[in-house]
Amino acid sequence: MKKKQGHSAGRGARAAQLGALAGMCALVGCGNYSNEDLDYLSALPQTDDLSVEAPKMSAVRPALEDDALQTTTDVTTKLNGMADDLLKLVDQIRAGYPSSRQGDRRVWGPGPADNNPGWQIEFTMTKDAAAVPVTFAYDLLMIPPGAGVDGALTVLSGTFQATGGAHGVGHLALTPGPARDAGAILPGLEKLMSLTIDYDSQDWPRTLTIEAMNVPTIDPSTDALDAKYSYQRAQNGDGAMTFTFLKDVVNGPLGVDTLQITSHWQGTGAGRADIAVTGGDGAGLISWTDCWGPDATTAYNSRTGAGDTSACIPLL
Amino acid sequence: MSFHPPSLSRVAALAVALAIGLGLPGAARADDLHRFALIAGNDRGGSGTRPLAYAKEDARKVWDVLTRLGNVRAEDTTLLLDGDAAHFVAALDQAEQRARAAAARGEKTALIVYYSGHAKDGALRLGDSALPLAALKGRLAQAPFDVRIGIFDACQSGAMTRTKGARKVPAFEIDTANQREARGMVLLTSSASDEDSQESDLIGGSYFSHHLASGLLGGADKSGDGRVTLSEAYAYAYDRTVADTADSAAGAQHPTFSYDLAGNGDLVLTDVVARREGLLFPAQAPAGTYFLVDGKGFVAAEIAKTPGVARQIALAPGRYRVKRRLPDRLRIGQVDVPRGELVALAEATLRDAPFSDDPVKGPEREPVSLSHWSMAAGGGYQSVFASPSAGLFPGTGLAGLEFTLRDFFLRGWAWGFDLAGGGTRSSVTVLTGTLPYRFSELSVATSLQAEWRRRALGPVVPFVGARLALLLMTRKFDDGTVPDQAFATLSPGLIAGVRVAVSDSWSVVLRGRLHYLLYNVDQANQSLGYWEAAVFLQYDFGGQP
Repeated sequence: MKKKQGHSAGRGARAAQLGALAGMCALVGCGNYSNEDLDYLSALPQTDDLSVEAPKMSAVRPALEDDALQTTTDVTTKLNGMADDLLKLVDQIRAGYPSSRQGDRRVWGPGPADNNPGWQIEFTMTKDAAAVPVTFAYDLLMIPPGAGVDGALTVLSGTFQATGGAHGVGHLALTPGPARDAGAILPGLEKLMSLTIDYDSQDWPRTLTIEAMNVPTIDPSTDALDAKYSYQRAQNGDGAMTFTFLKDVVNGPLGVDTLQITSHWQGTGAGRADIAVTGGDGAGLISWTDCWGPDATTAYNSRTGAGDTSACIPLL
Repeated sequence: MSFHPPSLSRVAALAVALAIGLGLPGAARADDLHRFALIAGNDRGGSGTRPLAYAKEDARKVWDVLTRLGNVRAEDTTLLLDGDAAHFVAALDQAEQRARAAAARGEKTALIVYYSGHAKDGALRLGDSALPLAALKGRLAQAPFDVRIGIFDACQSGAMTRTKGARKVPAFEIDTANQREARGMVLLTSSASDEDSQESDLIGGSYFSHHLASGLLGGADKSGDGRVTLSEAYAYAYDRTVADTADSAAGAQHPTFSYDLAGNGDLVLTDVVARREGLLFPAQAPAGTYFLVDGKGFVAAEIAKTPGVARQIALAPGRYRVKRRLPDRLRIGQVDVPRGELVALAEATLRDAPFSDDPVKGPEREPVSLSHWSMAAGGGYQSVFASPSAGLFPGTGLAGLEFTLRDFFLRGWAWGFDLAGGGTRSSVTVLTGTLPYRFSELSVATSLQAEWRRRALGPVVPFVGARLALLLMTRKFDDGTVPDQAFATLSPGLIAGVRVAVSDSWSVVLRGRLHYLLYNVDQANQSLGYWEAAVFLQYDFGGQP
């Protein structure tokens, strides 16, 4: 994931902005100096919340496993890309300060939407301070040209519970369909129907679940129809992930196969991956286990028979 | 730079009343001349000179006397304060134009030029500009007035009269029998060509102008006819100036006199009885030197009362303290001079007082004050009151520069501009944890302060004032994903402190501030406040701390 870039203006530009702020606000006092705003900003997902890791495997693997790994890596990369785009969008919001503050509500915008002339974008956040834990809800709206707020289309919505700890518990849903259908250009989201993310970073182990659904019209031989990614990591470096996605990996009448990769690893570096096709034409045809030691060398591989299953780490 | 008093019509009416209404015997004689006056005062003389303290005050005083008592209409005067040579010449041009118009109407004209300020190297020094004495003298000699009177209260101003031979004693007698034919030029200077003209903090003016003005108010009316002539005024000013400066460190100061009047006549400069307003010293009043101190603490007149002779002093309406010095004590009192009334001073109203109660050098008037700039640098600490702003603006150290214009509007008042900046590290707790940040503040402000300069306090000068600051506060978070924050606002406040002079130009300033801070980013306006304490080192340019 990338660091934010939106508010890293040059020193001269920053000085000019501050000078303008001082001049404009002299009589009434204004600015974005706010402790409360920090609460809102902290409720937005952060890089650490949405980091998607590719499954680990041993350094030396049969070719077919490599194919499966490559497929998994491709999907992971796309998920990462979407999460990255999402974070960039959040960072753009976070780079500015709210254009209005109304009690427990903050609004950024509306303002022009990138890549979409005539469209406007607005981001709202509300805080339920009475809830335990304090809960935030937010929506990113795209307003088509000529439409008012009533015609706004929700592109992103989310909630966050400030449970304390490192961060909190969050949920967000990306739904680009309505805006895309209304003519909005959303680079990288052309095939996405929905993306939901649930993260829990209040304590160890951290968990992250991402479920993506692509539009039904995509070619399942080249793109995954749906993908679900579940991930958890412990403070000592142990981790686990389950990655399930629908894709036509074995030719047959059913077309779409269900490929599941489960991977566990320890902080020492040792780990195991269990790869199986659980549905579709390849159901039961593929079920491999790959184990590796701390030095990433193969400890056991069911496909080649190398090593011993006793060398595998136990399932978490 | 010129100043024309607002009450022209009133003064003019009084002048007309003096001329035709009151019909005093001597008034007609004075009114034969249509009088014009150019009164100039400039405390500064440019490079190589130290600013004077009272040149402008001297000019104001002479202007007041001439317009009230000298039959000079206000509209025929120009009071030029801190004007340069070009302003002076322009005012002279204007007076000459008016004189020509008056002459065309068949009027006789007179011009009185008074200057108080610096002179050096043969020239009047008006600020950074110079007006050569020889050229000015030539100009006056050719000016289209029947009578030209030049009075110059400046160092080495005797150079004006040197070519004619300055007289260090008033050993002249002017035949006053034939004044209607008077034509020509008269020059008075406050000192000889090799002498300095001196000022006095006690009297609040230069010796020469002080005594000249006192004389014109009636102190110089040696003849007792209620009119002060040019020769009487000069003789009075001469005697008193020499006497007062004889024991001074700078040495005795000898006014000079030069005249070139056809007809050999004297001129009445002021009529002190026509207005029937002022203070009357009855003949039976004890002899001695009386000081009349006005409400501002300045000596309005210093009168040498002779035994058995009444003396009328045409003081302006107001309240005055009266002092007469005896060998072992003072006699002091207070007298009110109502408008249009002549009040007799009753000895019984005076009381004995010790020398420590001397109103002339008492606490009511500050010592020398000069309009000048000062610069100060230093540092301090600022803290926003904890509630309800806890965690919002951290306390921080500030370093600053201050530039202050002192004694410009009024004595003891200072108009300042200051710039300060500082910063500190702090952190803020939010719902999801703690965010460390770097806090910075920049302030630009202006302030107005009143200083309380009193001799009794020595080098310590307390001051209070008001300040208006433009604050710009920012914070930059260590977590790069959190955007920088800034807040700007105007913040009014109060100032109090003391300034302690450590030398002629240097002083240490201890100062506290209490400010209001409007904070309105989150929801409704919040009224916050902060205090500051600071120590500054100050340097005064051209003045005294």
